Amino acid sequence: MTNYIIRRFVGNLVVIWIVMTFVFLALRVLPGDFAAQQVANQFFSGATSRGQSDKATQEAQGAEEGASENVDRALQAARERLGLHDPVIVQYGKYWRDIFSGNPGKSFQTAESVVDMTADALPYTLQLGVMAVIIAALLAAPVGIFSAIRPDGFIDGGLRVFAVFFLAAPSFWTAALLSGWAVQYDVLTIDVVSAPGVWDDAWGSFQLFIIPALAGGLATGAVLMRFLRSGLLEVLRQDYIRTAHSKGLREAVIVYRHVLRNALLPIVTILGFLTASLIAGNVILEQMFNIPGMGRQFLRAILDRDVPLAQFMTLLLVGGVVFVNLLVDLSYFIIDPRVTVEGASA
Amino acid sequence: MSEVAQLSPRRITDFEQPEEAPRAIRIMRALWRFLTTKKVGAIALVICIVILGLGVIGPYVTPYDKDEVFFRDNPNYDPDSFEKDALQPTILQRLENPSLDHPLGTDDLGRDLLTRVLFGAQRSMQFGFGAAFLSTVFGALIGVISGYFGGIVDLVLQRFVDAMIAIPGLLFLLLLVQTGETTVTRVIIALAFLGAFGVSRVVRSATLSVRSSVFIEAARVVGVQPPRIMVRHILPNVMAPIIIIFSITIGSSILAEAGLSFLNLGAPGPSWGQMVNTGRQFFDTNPVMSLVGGGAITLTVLAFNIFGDALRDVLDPRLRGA
Repeated sequence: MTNYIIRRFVGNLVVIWIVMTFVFLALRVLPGDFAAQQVANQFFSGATSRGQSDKATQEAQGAEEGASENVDRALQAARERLGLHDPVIVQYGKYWRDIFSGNPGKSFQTAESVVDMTADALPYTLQLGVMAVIIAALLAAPVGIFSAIRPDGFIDGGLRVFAVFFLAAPSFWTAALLSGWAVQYDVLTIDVVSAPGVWDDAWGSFQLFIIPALAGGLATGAVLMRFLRSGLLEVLRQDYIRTAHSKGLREAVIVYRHVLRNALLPIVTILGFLTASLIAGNVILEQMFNIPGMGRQFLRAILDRDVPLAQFMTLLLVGGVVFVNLLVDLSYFIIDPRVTVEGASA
Repeated sequence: MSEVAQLSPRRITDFEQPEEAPRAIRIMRALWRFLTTKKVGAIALVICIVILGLGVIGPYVTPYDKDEVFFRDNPNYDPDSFEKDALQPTILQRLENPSLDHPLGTDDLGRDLLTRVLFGAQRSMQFGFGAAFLSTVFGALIGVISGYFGGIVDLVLQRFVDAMIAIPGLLFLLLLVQTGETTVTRVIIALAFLGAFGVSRVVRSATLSVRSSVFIEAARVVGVQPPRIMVRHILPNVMAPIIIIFSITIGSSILAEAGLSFLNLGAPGPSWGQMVNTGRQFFDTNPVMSLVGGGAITLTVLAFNIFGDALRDVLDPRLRGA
């Protein structure tokens, strides 16, 4: 057992190392860097505003020709300042040194510490994730159980269509329609400008988050419901359930005592996946509703080539995902004593 | 012992070919069994074929071009007026409601929406089939190698697969798409990478269950080399999960690409995802655009998912819930 945990732990570290290296290389392979963007903004926004009269335009052109050298020099300086001029292997070394020294750098964009930026973003993502998971669970638990104990009936069919539909419908579409109707009929006041968290303004925050949470929750709930249904059906076929029926136990007792307990394993497996999506945040929904959570920050970091921020968020997200998965796998041993290390590692 | 040594390759070949109907007839029989036993799956298959057909021929039968812009007469036209609105003889047919000329109306730039939906179908089919094909090939390669060799090869490959799966999908896609100009080919390759690791998991576990079979051992005993064992003996026996995962990857690739287009980060051209994004800004005046774009994505993904599920029930019921 201890051996198994250690092996899994080391495996996880390897996974994190691969992901970090992949993201490191990918961000350097991408064309364009933050220094180039910054210098471009600095020089060329000035040049266009100057071009008013002909004379001024000529001057500007002259200045631009002379400026090309300046641009090069500014680019050099910016690269040096951001640490982008080093050979890739040196950058890679510094990158790990910074992580182990507990100071993973400052964002290129805001010059703020990436740890602080992530800490600012995390509560929004958690709020959205928790709301979505609650909606998913409230939806999936009764529906999945009902579907499984009365399989192939009319209601089961309808509920399955519902689940299959939300498995296929993109969550951004659900969110677009819901918010469209909510605004049209003036149901909600969606404040996308100040993006209040629940700690700022509970009611305003609820109105902003409820639609993305519903959209995400319906999609996740559909997955959860399918797993719950198939897991329950599997257990319901077992001999000990027939025994329980034949010794005259009430239906409710059978479902709650015997079936649900044994169907817990596949549901816990899904919990790992759920938490992963909770931590990762829903990139599209956060972007859509202007919620400054981790998904949105990560997206912007990649688009802006904000290397330190993107790398730190990768570390946190992937670290979270792999260790939650480890915890989930370990919880099997507690939930189901029949699970052995040999079975788990196969 | 001596009896084992006398087992000639010739006799093993004889053993491998029992009397069977020709391949074409067997496939037709299997298809018929599928259509008669899986009604919902059959309906889904028909929808898949219709959407595929629309994607293939649709762009060639529409009377309009995807970028053609439509105008209509300006009712307030008055060249002598001082009003800016009255100076133009024609105005853009912006966000028109459905009419005979434009069965789904027009979009925010005055283009025919139905034409753009059909071009979107073409594009989604390219992404769906292209990415699913590439990711199935790539994923099957990783999965079979990982499952067959086991040991250190399996360990290294699986840690790599774990790592790639741990990266949030859309961001992984974005990292790959942004390596250069966003073209259709580049997006397809990125989607293929995204899907391949999931495919490899399924193929690996199927390979593991086949690997210890007697016929694999027999092939090894007569000295068949590993590449040939993998291609001729393992691959045909894990074909069922590969076909199933292929049909499901089509849907998930279309969904992933729609997300990318929704954020305006996909390849240029008409796309369903982008239609939802543009349409939601004009939702109060003309909800058609948003409804149609998202509806098309949902219907397509739904059809391919249901077809894949039905296929799974027929081909390999053990994969239920996978």
